[in-house]
Amino acid sequence: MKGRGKKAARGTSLQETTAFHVAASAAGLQPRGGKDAVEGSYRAQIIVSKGAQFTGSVDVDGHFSVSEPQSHRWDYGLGIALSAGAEIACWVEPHPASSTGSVGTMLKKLDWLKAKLTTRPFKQLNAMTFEHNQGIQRFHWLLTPQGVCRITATSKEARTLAKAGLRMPARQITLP
Amino acid sequence: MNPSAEISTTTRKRVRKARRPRLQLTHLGPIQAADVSFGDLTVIVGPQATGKSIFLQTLKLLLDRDHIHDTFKHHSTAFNDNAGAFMEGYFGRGMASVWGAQSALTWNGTAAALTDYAKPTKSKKRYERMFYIPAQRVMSLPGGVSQNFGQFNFGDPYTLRAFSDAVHDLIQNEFGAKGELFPGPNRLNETLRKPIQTHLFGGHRLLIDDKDFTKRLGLQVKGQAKPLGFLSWSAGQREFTPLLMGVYWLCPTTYRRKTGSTAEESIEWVVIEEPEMGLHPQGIAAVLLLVLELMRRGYRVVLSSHSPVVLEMVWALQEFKKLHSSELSVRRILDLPATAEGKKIALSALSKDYAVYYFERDGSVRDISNLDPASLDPSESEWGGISGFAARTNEAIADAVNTAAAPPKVKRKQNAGKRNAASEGSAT
Repeated sequence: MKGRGKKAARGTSLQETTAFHVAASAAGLQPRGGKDAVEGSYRAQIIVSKGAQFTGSVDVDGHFSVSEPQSHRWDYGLGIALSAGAEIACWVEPHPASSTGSVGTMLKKLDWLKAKLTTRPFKQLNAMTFEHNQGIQRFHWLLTPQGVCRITATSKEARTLAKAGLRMPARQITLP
Repeated sequence: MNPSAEISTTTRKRVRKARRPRLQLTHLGPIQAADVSFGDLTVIVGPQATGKSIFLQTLKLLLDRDHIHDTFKHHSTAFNDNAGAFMEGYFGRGMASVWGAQSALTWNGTAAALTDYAKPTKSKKRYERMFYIPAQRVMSLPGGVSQNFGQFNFGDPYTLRAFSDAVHDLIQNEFGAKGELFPGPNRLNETLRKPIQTHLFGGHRLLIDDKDFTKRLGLQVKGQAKPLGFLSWSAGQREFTPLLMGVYWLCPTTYRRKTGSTAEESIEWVVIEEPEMGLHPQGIAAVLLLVLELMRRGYRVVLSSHSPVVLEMVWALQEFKKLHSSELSVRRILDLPATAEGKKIALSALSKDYAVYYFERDGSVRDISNLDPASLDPSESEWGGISGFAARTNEAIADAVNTAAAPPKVKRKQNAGKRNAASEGSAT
């Protein structure tokens, strides 16, 4: 969930040679450098683990807001170069968790994203999402720093999230 | 929010916090450093042998020094100013070294040495302020027969002996003639009795059976001639029954249990160690209702616990307070009916303040009162390890789901040649 009209305006030189940029462009998305596609207020909450680095980002929600206004659209995709050299895609959705009802919305967004990834234009992004997958979490639910979380680890909602491949909402996400 | 209102709220919170009783300890048994401010309900959690019981027993000693010495004296135990002997007699055999050369303690801002508490004072106010329901409570009823203070040995913890003595007095004297302990003798109202009846005793009656000239507890099952003996009960029933006796002791017809010469001289604090022992979560919820009833009566309650149910309740009550929820929300989680008693308990729970502390393996004690499931500090988000297993399980399942969604590597290698040869077609 993003604040409309607060998109990152600051440009960064595109690293057009990265696999993420190539894959995102193939999907018709507009890749930005580093985390630039992510709304400014969320950027500090998304970091990379030691040795890894961001290779680009896309605002998926912004791209599909006109063509699919009623869909539960996922917000952001990020490219990460692992220390071993491989490049992968991770997906981040900033969304409140102030009630257990948010889980249903998040699952719809995840379904929407996974459906997109199975389409032909997203083929390369899909491969980057699921290759080198062992032990790497690709889909993340981000809370704002002050956001309230009312989903407990022992709740059935937490188990529903896990079964769908999503971890508990977090205030800081370390990728991958 | 307007800034002055914010300042005023912050100030109110500070004042309220300042009024909380506070115990600071260093180097006491396994505890390296603890700074605990007690709420109306305080829950302490942590793995075994991290000093939770020592901490609570110390609190009891600070509150009831003279009453403890008077009780020992009444049972002909004299320590003759021998601090080590007192520590063994009070904390239990082998515990004399709990207080060492580096140990320090501050109670409500005043420094004290525990060894000084090995002697009584000459104060005229000697009433008991804390009732302590220990983890070993089942030992107060061996074979279903109550034990008085003197039936234990020197070196058995004082808190067990004193609790057992109170239960003994209740069974032998206060309720001895009545014969039935549950659902009679109406010490608890129907709203509190019903969940106990349903989830803990399964409709059976708790009796005092004196057929063998000994007052022995039994469970009367419908249609059976003889009551079930203590060792034939479920483990949870054996653990719960002494706790219920403790609650009876604390819930006289007056609001709080009087222990001195005036109405003000009464029990103020209640400690219940591991109230969940042996119980199904529905049974734990029934016990938590009793805890809320104790709080409604004005007792300050301290629990030690390993149960996620206990922390779920504390977390929910704090969230309800933040959300200005109605008493209905409290009744909903505790399955309380819309009776006058149910509403009173729920409303009271919303007016109380709560604290949770985590006794860690390294000897530190951390304030995790917020119980924020998304806290960056795993001690808090995993509730002192209590929901840690569930959290790890969820993460492992989520990772497994995503790993399973990936195309198998071997298959990709086998099909690599075909893919290269084929024109781009179907989506993956």
